[in-house]
Amino acid sequence: MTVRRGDDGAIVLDGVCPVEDAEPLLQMLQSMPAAQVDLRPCRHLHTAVLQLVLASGRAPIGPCGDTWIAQWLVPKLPRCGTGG
Amino acid sequence: MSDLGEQFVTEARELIRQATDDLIVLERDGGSPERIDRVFRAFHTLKGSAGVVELPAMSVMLHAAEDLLAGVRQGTLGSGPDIIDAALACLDQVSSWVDHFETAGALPAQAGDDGRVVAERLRSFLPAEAGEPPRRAAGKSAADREAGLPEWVARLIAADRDVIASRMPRRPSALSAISYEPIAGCFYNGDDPLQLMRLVPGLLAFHIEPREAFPALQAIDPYACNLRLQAISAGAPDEIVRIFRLVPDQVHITSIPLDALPGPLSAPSDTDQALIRTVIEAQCELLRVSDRTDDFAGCTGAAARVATNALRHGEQPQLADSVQRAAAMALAQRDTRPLLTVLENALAVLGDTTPAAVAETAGGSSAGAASATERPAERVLRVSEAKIEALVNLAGELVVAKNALAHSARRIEQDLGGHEAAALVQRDQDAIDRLVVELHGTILQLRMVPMTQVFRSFPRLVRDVSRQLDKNVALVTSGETAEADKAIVDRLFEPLVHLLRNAVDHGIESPGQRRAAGKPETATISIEASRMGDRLLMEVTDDGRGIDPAVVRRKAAEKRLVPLDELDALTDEQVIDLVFAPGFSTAAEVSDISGRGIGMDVVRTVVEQMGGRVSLASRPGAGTTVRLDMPMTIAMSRIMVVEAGGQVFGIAMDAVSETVRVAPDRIRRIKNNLGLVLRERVVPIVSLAELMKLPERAKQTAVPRLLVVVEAAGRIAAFEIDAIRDRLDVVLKPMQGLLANARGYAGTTLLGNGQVLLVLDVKEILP
Repeated sequence: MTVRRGDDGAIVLDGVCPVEDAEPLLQMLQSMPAAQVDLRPCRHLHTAVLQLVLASGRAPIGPCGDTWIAQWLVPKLPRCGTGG
Repeated sequence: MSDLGEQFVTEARELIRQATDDLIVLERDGGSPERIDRVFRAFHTLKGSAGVVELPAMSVMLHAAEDLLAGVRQGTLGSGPDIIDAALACLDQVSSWVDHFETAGALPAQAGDDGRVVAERLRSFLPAEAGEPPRRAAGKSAADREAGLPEWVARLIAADRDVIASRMPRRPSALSAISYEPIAGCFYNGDDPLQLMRLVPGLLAFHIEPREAFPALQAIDPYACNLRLQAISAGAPDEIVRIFRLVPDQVHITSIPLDALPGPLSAPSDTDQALIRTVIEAQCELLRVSDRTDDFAGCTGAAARVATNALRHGEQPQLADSVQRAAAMALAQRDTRPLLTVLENALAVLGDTTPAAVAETAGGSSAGAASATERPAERVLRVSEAKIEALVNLAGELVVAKNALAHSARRIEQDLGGHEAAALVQRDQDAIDRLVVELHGTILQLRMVPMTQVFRSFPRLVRDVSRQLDKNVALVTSGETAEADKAIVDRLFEPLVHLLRNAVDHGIESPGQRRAAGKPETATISIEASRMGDRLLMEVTDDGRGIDPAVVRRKAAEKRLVPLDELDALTDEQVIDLVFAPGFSTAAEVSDISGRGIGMDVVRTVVEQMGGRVSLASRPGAGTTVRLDMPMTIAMSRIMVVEAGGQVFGIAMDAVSETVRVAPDRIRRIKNNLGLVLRERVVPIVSLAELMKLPERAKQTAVPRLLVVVEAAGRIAAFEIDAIRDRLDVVLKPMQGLLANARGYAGTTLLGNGQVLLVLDVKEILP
């Protein structure tokens, strides 16, 4: 599963997240209202997945291992965390 | 042509048609924002597609049209007839180019010039500050240019000014702004918009935002895309267009003037350039001697590194990359040549600093400009899957039945007697026959197309003609879905064009006259198709001045169309029918539109050739209705042309079972008739000349007689004839006028030499 619940209570996007991840991600976002999204192991996220991350308004946990995402996408997401 | 090219041609025609329709409605009813938007999008998509198949002349022209329509959309320009004219002219040009592209695979040689003329006309409507006429562009300041950027581009630049400045290459060849608004259902199409954005080369800025504010997480639809993705790129525009080629309707790509962006824009100076050349030349020298040194790898690696750095400094990243690849190859092969070749190539590129001229794809002869009324070259036949499926199944059954015949043949050979064999083969033959008839019917069904494609160009035609004549005409169409054989539908186009032009030109009065007559200024022409049994009826009705029988009578007398004494005897209805006579024209003067004395007679000729009929009804002051009564299919009949009594006749081949030449002594008198025994049957012989009441040729007793054995309605006879002339496939026209009730004829057809051939109705004439 490329979207999963992390040990630390965050929602982890791991590897290349396909469009099918949108549904489970949405369920997790709904059921874990405080969980951050951990983008560190993410290499690509499908637009549908990204849209949910954006819509959740939650700051991601970074830095993302993928340079493109780190450089172009993360700055567009709410800022706060390098934590984790 | 490539798949891409074919797809472009099909799409372009569809877009042209849609844009034409919308432009006409826009002019007539004024523009709702949705309609203006649709026209704009059609032009925009056309432009994008032209870019994909690399037709720069078309892109440039459409870009001008897009600017114009953007003005209309923003409300800074109206949608007056002149602007609509220019936009339609642009579509005409595109349409003619698409035709040319389809046949020649490229635009005509003079496309660049033609496109510029159209583009200048389009730009002439733009206020000077909004448009960018080429002559002014050169003198514009950077501030002007930045001010001229679309608002969203300016916002994008402002938001990421620092990032852009830091990533701006020293000498970008082009800058593009991309705004991509994926449709809501794009995920279902397998689109991943973010992935497309990741492919954009030379990214300088990226922005993503919801199109509409996101709802709460509880209410969000995860599979409805609600995003807008924007970017600025210094990558090659071609490459960018290619990336978004599958979503041209969802993406807007704008080129940004090179000096409108922040960043290090100073091009490497000439001294820089010379320095880089010197550095690379030195590396080449080094490599040429490195073969002889012990440290091959060290030498090659160093030379490659130095050259790569120099090229990166000189803003030649692609060259730098290829040097790196060549170095790897050289090291692997222990051979400096791959690297040397690339470096020498780089020197050549650096030496050539003149920008490559945009080469117009030339080829083929120039196509004549397509006029609005010319038939587009479209020859596509769209067929529903269900129809094809039925055909395939039938063909399969046919194969099985055919195989059964082969099996039967083997059995005949091996173990069956003659009679049983005949019955067996007969049974198989019946099965094949049934299938073939069904197959034939299904194939005919395939050719049934709706009238839609013919009706499509009429709003434009009526609009153009009425505008030329300063008349106000609304066209009402109905029954577009009525189907007929494609051959009929295609051939109906020309007569209908004549009828519509005639209606606007002669039928409809000027607005002043209509006012005076108490009619609404805007005239109505309706064109209606309907199906009546196996006939297709078309009616073209106008509410104009109608046809005055007295005027027609006078004209006919002047032109001596009918002898005067006969003319007096004609009823008003018959007189009005004279407008179909060759050489008749009621127009007081020959106009551009119609009235060259051809037209109505052409209509009648074409319609009758297809086995149809034309009639006309008119009430002076109230309008005219022309009615076409067409067969649904063009039924081809195979006939045999025979000669008897000095005349030629046609006999349907269906009825002919054989032709025989018999010696006179085989012919016997049976009671009052002549007859002969043929294949164990007594066949009565009838002289065709006698039957048709024609003088018989004197018979020489010794000469063999030529007989055509015909069978119809269970009866058999042999027609004695003088000669067999021909076998032809013809369209039978029903008997008309005075001959409509003549018995014994199935119809008439025109022979190649213009002679009318009477085709016999064998069933009727068999004694």
